[in-house]
Amino acid sequence: MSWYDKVGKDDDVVVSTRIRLARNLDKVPFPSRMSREESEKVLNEVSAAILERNPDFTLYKMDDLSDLEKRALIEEHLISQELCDKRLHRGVLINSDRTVSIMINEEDHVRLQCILPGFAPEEAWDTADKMDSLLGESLTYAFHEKMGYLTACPTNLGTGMRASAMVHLPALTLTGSLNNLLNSVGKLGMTIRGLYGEGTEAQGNFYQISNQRTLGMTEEELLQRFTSVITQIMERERAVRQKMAEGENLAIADRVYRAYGILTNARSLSGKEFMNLYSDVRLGKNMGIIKEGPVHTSPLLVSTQVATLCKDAGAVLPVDKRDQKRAEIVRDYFKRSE
Amino acid sequence: MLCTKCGAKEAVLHYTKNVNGEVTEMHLCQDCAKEEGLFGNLNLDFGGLFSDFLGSAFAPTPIGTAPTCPLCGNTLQNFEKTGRMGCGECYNTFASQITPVIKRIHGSVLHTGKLPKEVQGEVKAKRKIDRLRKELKDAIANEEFETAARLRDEIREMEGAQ
Repeated sequence: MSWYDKVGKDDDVVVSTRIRLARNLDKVPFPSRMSREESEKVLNEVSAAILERNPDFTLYKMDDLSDLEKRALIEEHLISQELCDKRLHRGVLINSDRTVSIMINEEDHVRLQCILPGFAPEEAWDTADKMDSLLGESLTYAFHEKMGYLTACPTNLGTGMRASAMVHLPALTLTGSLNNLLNSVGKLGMTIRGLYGEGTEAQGNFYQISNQRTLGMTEEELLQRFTSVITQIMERERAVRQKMAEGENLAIADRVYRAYGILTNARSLSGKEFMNLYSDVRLGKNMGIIKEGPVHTSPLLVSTQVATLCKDAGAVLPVDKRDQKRAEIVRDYFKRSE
Repeated sequence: MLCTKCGAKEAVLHYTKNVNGEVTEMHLCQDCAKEEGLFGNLNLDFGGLFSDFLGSAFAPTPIGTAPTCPLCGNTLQNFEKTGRMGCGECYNTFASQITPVIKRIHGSVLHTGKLPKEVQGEVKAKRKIDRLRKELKDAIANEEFETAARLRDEIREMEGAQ
C-alpha cells in the first residue's frame, strides 16, 4: 500500500500534496563540503534518531540499491535525483505506509517529506511537524535566531518548508487558459513546474505547484497562502470543466472515449503516449463521462513508469518490451471493476 | 540616442550602475552590449543570480584578506559560483554579504516560524517582548495610559528574567 493507492480529497484536480522540511545538523558542514567520515556519522545519527523511536521506518542506503531501485523510488516521488549521486554516504528512511520519506545527505543533511493523496496540506504538515520534532529531540539543528533553520541554499531558509501540490489541469490547458494561470501563480509567490519538480517537463497536463518564499512567515501562514492558491486553481479548473460539459459536448465525449478505447486495448504504449491518453481518460472520469472501469486511477501514474514496471517485470527491459509491458499493466488495471 | 561605446549605432540597452552611491550610466547598441556580455544574459540559475548581485555589491577583496569560513573552509568566491553555503557557520562568516541576498529572495530576514527545542524558551520570550513593545506603542498612541503602564511593567519583568 502506498500513498497513490488511496483516494484523497479533491483528487479530481489534486493528485497529491507534499510538505517538505529542510534541516541540517549543527556544527557539521553541509553535504557539499562534508567529508566521507562526516557523512557516515550523519547518516548513522539521523537514522538512529528515527529507528530507535519508530520501528515503522526502514533505512535504505543508496550504496546498497541498484540503479533500478533508485529510479523506482524517484518515480514514487519518495526521493530526488540528487540523492542518487555517488559521493558520500546517502540514504533514505521510509515508513511502511510510504507516505513519509526522510532523505539523508542530499542537498541538506535532512530532507523530511510527507506526501498524501489528494489535497491534504494540514494533515501532511501535521505529520511532517511531528517527525521533525521527534528528530529534534535527539539531534541539534543548525539554527539562527533571525534566519531560522539554516540550509545549504538560501532559498530554503527560515521554515525550510516547501509545500507543493501535484495538480491535473486538462481543461485549463485545452482552453488555452494555462498561461494566464502561470502568470497569476507567479504573482502569488508560487512556482509551477513539471511532474518531477525542478527541471522537468509538464506531461499529461500534470503540474507541480509550490511556494517560493520560506522565510518571514510562520508555517501556518505559509500553509494558508498555499491552500488559498491551490483552492483557487481547483475552482478555475472545475469551472472550465463545467463549461465544457454544458450542452452534451460530443467532441469531448468522443475524445475521452477514444483515449479509453486505446488504453484498454493497445498492445504497446510509450510513456509519452500513455500520459497524454491517461490525461484524457482521467478528465473523462472526473467529468462523469466515462463510467466504466475503476474510479481511482492514480496508481497508474507510478506503475507505468520505466523503473517501476521493470521491477514488476523482474528485469531491465529494452524499450519495445517496456512499451509492451506498460500496455499490459494498463489493460489489466482497467479490467478492475471497482 | 547613439551608443556611448562605438558612437555609431542606435543604443538599445540602457544600463545604470549604482555602487555605494557612485552612479555610472551606459547606453549600448546591440553589438557593443554583446561584447560587454550584457545582452541576452537571462540565465536564471541561482549561482549566476548571486554572483551578478554580489559582483556589483562590493569592491573585490584583495587576495589574503578574503574571509574564509572557520568551520568548513568555504570562501565567498565559492558561494558566488555555486549559490550554496557550506555550513551553518558560513551564515555568520558571510553575514553582511548574504543578508541583502536573503532580503531579495524572501523579502524578509526575520524568522517567525517554528523553533528547535534548544532555543524555544529564549526566542519565544524575545518574541513576546517584541509583541508587548508594539502593543505599548499603540497604547500610548491611543492615550490608553493605564494599559500602557501595565504593559511597561510586564516588559520590565520579562526583561529582568532574561
